[in-house]
Amino acid sequence: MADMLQKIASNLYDGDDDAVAELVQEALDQGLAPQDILSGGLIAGMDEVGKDFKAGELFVPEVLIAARAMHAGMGVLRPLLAESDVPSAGKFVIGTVEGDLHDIGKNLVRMMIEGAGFETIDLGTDVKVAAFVEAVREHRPALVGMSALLTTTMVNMKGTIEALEEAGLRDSVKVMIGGAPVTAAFAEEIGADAYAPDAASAVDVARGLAG
Amino acid sequence: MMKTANSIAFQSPQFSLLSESQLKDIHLAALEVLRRTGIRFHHREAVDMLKKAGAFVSDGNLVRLPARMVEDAIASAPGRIVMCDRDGEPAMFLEGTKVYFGTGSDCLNFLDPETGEHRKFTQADIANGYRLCDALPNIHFNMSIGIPSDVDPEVAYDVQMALMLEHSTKPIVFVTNDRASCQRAIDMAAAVAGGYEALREQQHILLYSEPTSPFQQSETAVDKLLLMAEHELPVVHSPGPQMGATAPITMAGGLVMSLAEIFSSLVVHQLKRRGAPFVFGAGLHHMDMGSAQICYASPEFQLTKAAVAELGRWYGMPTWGYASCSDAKVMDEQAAVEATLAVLMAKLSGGNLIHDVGYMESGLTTSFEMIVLNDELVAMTNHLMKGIEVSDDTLMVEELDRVGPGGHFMDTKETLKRFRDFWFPGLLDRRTRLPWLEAGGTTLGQRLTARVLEIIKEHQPRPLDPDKKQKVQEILAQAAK
Repeated sequence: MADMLQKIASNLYDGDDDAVAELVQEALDQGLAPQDILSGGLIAGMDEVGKDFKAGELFVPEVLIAARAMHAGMGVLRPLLAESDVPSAGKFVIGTVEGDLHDIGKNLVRMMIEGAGFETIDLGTDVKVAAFVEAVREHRPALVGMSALLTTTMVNMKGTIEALEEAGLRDSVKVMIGGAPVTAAFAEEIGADAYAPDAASAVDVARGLAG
Repeated sequence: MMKTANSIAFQSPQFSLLSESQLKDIHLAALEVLRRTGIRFHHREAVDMLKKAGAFVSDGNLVRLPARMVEDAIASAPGRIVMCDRDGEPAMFLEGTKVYFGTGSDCLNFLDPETGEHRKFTQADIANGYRLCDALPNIHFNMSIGIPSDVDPEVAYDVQMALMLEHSTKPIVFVTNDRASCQRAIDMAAAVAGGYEALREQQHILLYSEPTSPFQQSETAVDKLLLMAEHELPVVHSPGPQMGATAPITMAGGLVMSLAEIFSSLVVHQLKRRGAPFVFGAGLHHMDMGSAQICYASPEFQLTKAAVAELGRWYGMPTWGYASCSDAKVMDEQAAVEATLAVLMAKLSGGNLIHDVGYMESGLTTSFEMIVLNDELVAMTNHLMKGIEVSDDTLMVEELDRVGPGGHFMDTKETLKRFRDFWFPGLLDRRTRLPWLEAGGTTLGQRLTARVLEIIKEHQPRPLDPDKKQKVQEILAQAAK
């Protein structure tokens, strides 16, 4: 059993999404519990990826294909996890704020967050304040992430937080923000819950807020 | 014909300074200077050899050379030299535009990486320097770095050679004070190579010596030059004049004088042993007329180095150059700026043996941090010299179509396959502020020092065979008598 989980983790580390999906199914067929496959296989593999990325041994493209493999594994597991009532890491609504079409940083964060086991709802770019509020109302996420590259658009983050307050939803979610011009001081100033300086840190921050 | 320094045809950045007609004009002017003005040889045997071969000798030792003697010597000098490491494995191919980096020789002073103190060199310091260079992938050969102050000055050069042979496996460019010490250097290297014939085959050592500008050849310098020719071991007999002081104030005039001095050396060298290996080199500096100091990092020096490399290639000879030497007193921003410019110019110009890495303060002081910085800069410019590959494989029309508007390329197969082709820095930092702060928030200078200390503490070169080490020590002991 430990062998099987190890195999899932190492294929995930190598970014082989087909193999991970097959192995997860095989593990289920052998009678392993979905939550054990999740924690001992998928999450264990992703933790290894995160550790080696921080140590400079793995690079962004490799982390992303590992995240994709995680996603493939989750695709097999998720229906069963819902049945067995094991919560995923949480839902994560993410988007680039109104007026801003830059999405490479937002995509990077989304893929890394997925790799950490969150279920993400990506609203895309140029996301209006009302669309963020609507998504929170609909999906009831644990977290909302907002991204901006431009100093001229980062101010729209504040509008979203205010709108969430007006809608009575602010207490139901944690808000985290990021993007090149964004700082921890700005996050505090506009009443966000957290700031992450880069995609790898965003995973830690999200886990901290969700946990 | 365009003289380019590109290592990959039609792909690398291309740099050329002198046109064909400019090269020829400089060449012909040097021949005229050798015919009319001549060189004073303070060496009896050399004067006799030159006279017998057709030189005009007047005033006892003033030697003037007809063009055909120079042309003969250029024709007989070999077009390439392969230098091997201590184990006899080929390590440097001195030919074309292949660029190799090494330290300088004989600095009096050292910037102690432990304390930052500016002080005299010791044997332990230079041995640490050789081990440092042994560990760095982009330092390709050793020079002596410093003169140890804790040994009898009479045997300082012998001590350097013994320590270089012991503490590094890389090829050696050495300096000695006279014929006897040059012979001992050869003896030591032969003991390590397994005999004189083996050393001749491996070409593990190369002598650096100099004419005395303007237009003089000292007795000891010619002694050493001829001794190396007898052994068929490579030499670079490189003038180091200062324009405005020991050379005329124009770069073209300085080049003409340098060429005349190089060719007077080459002619006598080839007369002694036709086909003996010779590296074409000159360090054409200028005198800073404010401080009266020799400039090691001026823009003019970058140009003259490029011209020397280009001329040497034009003659079909291996070439000599300089980089990562600075006029700064400590490893500061000035040193980094000057090193960067010099390494880039060296790579673009394509000289073969690029030395004086680590020199500060016009060659009076060496900084180990500068040597480590050079290693990083060479790694960086190696990637610059790769240029841009343009082919069906790299134009990526399929990939562009697959991803399309609004997509991204971060996790595609092509990205995964190729992202490591781009340069990853060793010591330069690209992190965002917070992770950088968490890792100590260090400056490049601090990281350079840390790397120096780490290598000195940890790196152990492949040990020299104990019997060979014993033989080297015996030769050293004879020198001390």
